[in-house]
Amino acid sequence: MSDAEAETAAEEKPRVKEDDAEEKKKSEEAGESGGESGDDDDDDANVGSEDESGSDDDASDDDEDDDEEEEEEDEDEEDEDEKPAKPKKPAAASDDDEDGEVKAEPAGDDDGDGSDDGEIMTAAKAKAQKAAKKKEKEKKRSRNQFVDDVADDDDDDGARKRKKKKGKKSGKDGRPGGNMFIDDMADVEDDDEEEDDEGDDIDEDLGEEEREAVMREAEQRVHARYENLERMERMENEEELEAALKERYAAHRAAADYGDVGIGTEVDQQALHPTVRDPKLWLVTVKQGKEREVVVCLMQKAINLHRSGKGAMAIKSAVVQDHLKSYVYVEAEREDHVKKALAGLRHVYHSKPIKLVPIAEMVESVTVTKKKVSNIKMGSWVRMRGGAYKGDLAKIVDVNFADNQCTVKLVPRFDYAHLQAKEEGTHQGRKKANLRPPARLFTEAMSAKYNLPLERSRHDRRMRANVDVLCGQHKLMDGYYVKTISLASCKLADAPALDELQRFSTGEEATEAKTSDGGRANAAANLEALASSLEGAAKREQNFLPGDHVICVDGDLVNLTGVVVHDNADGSVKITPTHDDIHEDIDVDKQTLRKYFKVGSHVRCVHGVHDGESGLVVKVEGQVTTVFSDVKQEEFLVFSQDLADSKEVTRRVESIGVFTIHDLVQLESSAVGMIVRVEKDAAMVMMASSTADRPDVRPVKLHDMRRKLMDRRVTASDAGMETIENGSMVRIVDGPGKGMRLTVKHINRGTLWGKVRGDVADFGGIVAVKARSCRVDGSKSKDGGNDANRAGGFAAAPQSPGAALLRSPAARQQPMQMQDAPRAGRFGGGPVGRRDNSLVGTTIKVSAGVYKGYKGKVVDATETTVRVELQAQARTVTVQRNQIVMPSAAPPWGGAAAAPAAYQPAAPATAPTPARTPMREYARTPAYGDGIGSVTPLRDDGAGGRTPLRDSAWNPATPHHDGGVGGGGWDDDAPSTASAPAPSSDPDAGYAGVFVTKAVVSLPDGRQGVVRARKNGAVVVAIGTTKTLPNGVVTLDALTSASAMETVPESVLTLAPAQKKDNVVVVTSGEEQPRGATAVVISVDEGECVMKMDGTKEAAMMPATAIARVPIPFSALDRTFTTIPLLSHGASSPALPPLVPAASEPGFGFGVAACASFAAIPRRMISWSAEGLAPARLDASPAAASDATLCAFLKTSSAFASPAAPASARAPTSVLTRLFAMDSFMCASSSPRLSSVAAAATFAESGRFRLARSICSAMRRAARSSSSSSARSRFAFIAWRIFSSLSSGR
Amino acid sequence: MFFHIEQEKNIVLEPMYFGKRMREMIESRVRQEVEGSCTGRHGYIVMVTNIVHISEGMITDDGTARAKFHVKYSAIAFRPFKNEVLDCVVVQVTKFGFFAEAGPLKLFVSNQLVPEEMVFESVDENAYVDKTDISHRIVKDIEVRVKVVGLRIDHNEIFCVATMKEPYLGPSPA
Repeated sequence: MSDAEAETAAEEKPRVKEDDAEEKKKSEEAGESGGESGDDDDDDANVGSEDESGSDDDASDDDEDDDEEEEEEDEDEEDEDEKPAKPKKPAAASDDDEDGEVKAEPAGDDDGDGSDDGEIMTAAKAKAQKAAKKKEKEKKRSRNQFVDDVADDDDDDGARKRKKKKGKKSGKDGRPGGNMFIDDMADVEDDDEEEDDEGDDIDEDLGEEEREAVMREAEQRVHARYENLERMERMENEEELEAALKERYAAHRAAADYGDVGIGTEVDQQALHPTVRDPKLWLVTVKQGKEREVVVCLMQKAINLHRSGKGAMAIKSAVVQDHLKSYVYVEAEREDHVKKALAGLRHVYHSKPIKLVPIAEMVESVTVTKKKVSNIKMGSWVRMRGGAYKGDLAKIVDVNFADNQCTVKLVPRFDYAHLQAKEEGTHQGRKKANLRPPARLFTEAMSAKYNLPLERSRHDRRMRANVDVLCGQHKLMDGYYVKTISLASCKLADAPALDELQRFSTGEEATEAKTSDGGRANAAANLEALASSLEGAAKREQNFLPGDHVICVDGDLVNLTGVVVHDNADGSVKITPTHDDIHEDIDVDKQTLRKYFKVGSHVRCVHGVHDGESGLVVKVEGQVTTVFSDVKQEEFLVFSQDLADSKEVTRRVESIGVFTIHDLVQLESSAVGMIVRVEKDAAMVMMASSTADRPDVRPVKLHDMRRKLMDRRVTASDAGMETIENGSMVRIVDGPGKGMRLTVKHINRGTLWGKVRGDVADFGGIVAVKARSCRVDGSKSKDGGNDANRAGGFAAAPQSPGAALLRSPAARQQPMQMQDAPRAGRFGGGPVGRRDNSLVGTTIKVSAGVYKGYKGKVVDATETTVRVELQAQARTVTVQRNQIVMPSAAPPWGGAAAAPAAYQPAAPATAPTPARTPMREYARTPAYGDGIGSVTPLRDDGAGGRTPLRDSAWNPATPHHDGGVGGGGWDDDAPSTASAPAPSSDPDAGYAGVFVTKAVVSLPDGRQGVVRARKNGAVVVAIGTTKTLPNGVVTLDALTSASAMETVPESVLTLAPAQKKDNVVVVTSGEEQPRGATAVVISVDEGECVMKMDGTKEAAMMPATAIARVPIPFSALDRTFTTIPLLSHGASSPALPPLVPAASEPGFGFGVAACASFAAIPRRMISWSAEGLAPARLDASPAAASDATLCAFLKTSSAFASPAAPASARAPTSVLTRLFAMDSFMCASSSPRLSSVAAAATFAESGRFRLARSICSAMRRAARSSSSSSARSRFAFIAWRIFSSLSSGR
Repeated sequence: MFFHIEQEKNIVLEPMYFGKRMREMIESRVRQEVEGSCTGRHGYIVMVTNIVHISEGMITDDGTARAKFHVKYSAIAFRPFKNEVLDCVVVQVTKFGFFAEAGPLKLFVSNQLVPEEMVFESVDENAYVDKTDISHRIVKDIEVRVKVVGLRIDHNEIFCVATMKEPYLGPSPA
């Protein structure tokens, strides 16, 4: 009988390795027998299994499968046979399973042809698992071979079933063609497998019987296939074939109608999409996580029903998809079949509706997508998904798909202290340290150190190896942590970069290095091993670009080098060989090519952690290339596949966002540092806190960097007070790194970042060092002997007498403090960047801007900005100085508080202000900025009131000063010179009435005046002129030089009503606002005034009677030295009131003679000094006025000019002389900026541009010849300011 | 390799230098600007040997009253090439290799390119010591002969990777 024949063949053949000839022979044989026996061939596949079911595990499993599905038919027949086999089944199945996998590897390795390793494994597995698969269909679905396998299985099933049916019902009836084709289908599908089988060395591990069974089955398939092929050939023409096909489909449909599902090959599957006549797919909601259990329960139920002989369930199948949580698919004709089947099952939500899967989606629903995880095999590199090991590289040492688990080898991250605590029982349920323990190979020393129990060489059954066990739970192998995890908790890694592999294998390397001397060769060998270990990992597609140098590593052309010409679509590459005898381009398979780099070539890394780094190739060894990094000046190892030729001659600009390497950046924390290295997503920033020997380099993410600092013009002073500029060479003379020489790259707040030459340290030789511990190369004052003279830089240059006069009383009281803060003084009025620690630590409120209303603690403050740590939000913001207020600090009486009280919040009115240096005053030049000295007495805002500019960021009128001003400025009795500050001279001390000094009052006769003083219940009033506003209200317009003093009894006086925009002061106590608080009236309505408090910037409402108008804010009355900008251009109304605090008006309180400006000549500023000067009474023509102004100015300035200033400066006669005088004065003066600026601006205002320009150029000259660079830049700055104002003014 | 080349350059001089010593000024300017500079083509300009010609000055028209002079000069250039053998001075020894300088040129010799018999030691000072002859040491400040295997040319710097793993390379005797 042909069956027997086939079987013998099947048994014998696999044991010998067959060549093609044999195969052919076999197929011929098969063909013959097929030809002879015709229909009988159908039975091939089954005969073996059926006949030998008793002796053969595998075969018996098959039988059982059949039985299960066709219980009704086969029940009687096979019942007895089956029962003993049943309990054994699952075990057998899983055994097979494991064996199959374990064996798969060696089989693949031994295999000669190498090309089909994967397939061979697949095939072997498929065979070995066959039985298991049928039994536990659902579990198998996670495998990659699932679809095919199931197809196979089902084919076989189908074939057998059909045959059985046939045998039972109609025997070999009129459907031979159909049967033939169905068998054919099954067998054709097996093509690959069967080929592999033949080449396979079957594993010794497999039990003899099992192996035979597997072999037999394979043979049967082979056999059948060839027979079918023969048969196909024999079908002479297409018509016949067509007919056969038709017949076959008819047969299939018929079968389907009977509920017998036969699935064909892949092609057929396409044609066999479900139709309405097929069973439907139902989606059943089950408890999450119990999907598999439900399906297994269903299966068990089916078995139980079958055993107990009850009617089987009407459902066809049940499927669980791993990716679909809390749903199970059940295949059945009707919904009630499903319900019935599910009845009584746990974990099924019976209450939820069972949904029908639309036909169109059916196939998708049950299609198992190939999951990457299924590629995991022993030796694969994976990455951990979560936990302490998240992202760590791990190597698979074992994988068990059945349990969905794998065993991985990791570099342990043990928290030994934690383990110890646990071990000793002192563990208090403490949360594990948040810090991720470092990955370090385990050594026994560690267990000894922490006194942890370590069990040596315990045999682990699962791994079939000896492992050490730490603390009874952590398995260790050679220092690695061996852990069994679920397949889901790891993912297949891309080919890991070399450095990672190295880190992984550090242990091995270290031990080897220890034993061998030198260790270099060993390390190299290790790398090679690593490289080869990569083979197992997912391989990245190699990309070859035209121009790449390549070398053949395999095949006939091994060691041939060439240059890539073209990357062909078919996976080969056309190369131009660099060989003397080969002159034409050849196509070479990509797989056999490797990139090739010569030592010394410039390359860039394109993958891995070194991505983007360029460097010079130092060494090439196999796949591993050593590259000397351009930037880091270090070597690193990479696979040559990760390199590309770098054509660029220059190094690549390494940048992150807008920041590039070697930029000076300010971080969100306001800290400043220099980028010394840029990595993929972070920059390494060398902070200012670094020292030469201990760099403080932090990785900073892009979003943590606020801005790039431009510091080209920034300078610093060295130990000898020499100026350090960008690009200077400096030598470290003190502290760490002494003796180093560096080229300064960046300067920030006294810290230098520079590149050390020669002695290349880390970070490309960049070090940060304090400017004070360096000395500029070529410095004149090597010994620092001149330091005292240089210490003050510009400000402390030889002091002129005038400079002393200009000093504020406060500053004069604290001369020492000024010396204590030489840094502050040195830059003499540098506008930004200076620290002002007086505010730090205080709580302030933001009064304007985005953060208006927020309160916070000041963490840092400069002259213009403060950094505020907000209370409401966890962030620190930068706020302009003029936008903050001190909620708690009420403005002291007499404080005009044009500047927010917060300006000196912590200091009481008499507190010393160390930050105050004379230079502060110098800075207050009109040209410098509007924010300074911005209050003008001549300002006319239309209402006759004088409004201070609210944006005064650096207003001289600090509470401290105002104490004196308040008294001296307005009171006849007060000392009239600046040199006598009289904080105690508050004229209103002890006075509780409303007629406070400075208040504007109305006399009974309608005249108005300003309260000067009070004597015995009477009030001294300076009578001023009045004007009538459009709304009919009469207000005080101005005090004139001729203002008469009248003494009036208090009782007849009334407070002049305040008008909109007037400056007012609270004169009653017990109101909402404290007495003495100043404000600006916003509106007046029915005896109520709405006003904006100067101190808090808050609006307040007060009865009109509680406030008194004051003529001008006191800030304008700083008597020490003030420049008062006049109205701007264009306000040249002849009606401009001459509110002139001239000499004739000493009571006005300046105690100074002032020069003034008048009438039609709009002028930006006038100057006066504390020193008495002859009043410049000016009237007459504009030209005369300007001359007079100049004159006054010159006199003013000459008062504090150095004695060297020529006499002509004091009495200028002509413009030229004046100019000359000015020039020489400026050169001589220690504080030329102020005067020259004032002069220039004055000239500019009066339209004498030529003069102004001359002054500017003089200043430029001065700037150029100035010794200090800071002074130079100041000059340039001022000159620029004036020029720009000139051009805009014209 | 050293070359004696002739080059040209424009020098801009401020009017304050117009006068008797202007020529000297121009010469010193040329030296100042050229000596020590580095270009990819010519390498480092080591020294200006001779000012060949100075053109007449042209006042620039940028309002600064400066004058431009076209200067021809000859100079000695130092341009390293691949495979060139150089004597250089070791400036730093690390376990990765050592850095050396040949005049303005910086070189790096990787430990991969140090002969096998020379091993790194960091006992006293970092050094590569010849196992076969202890007297052969590569330490800071000694002179070595190396061969350039690769060079990177930046806009103002040339950097070389060199090898010592060939015959006749290594520390200079005496």
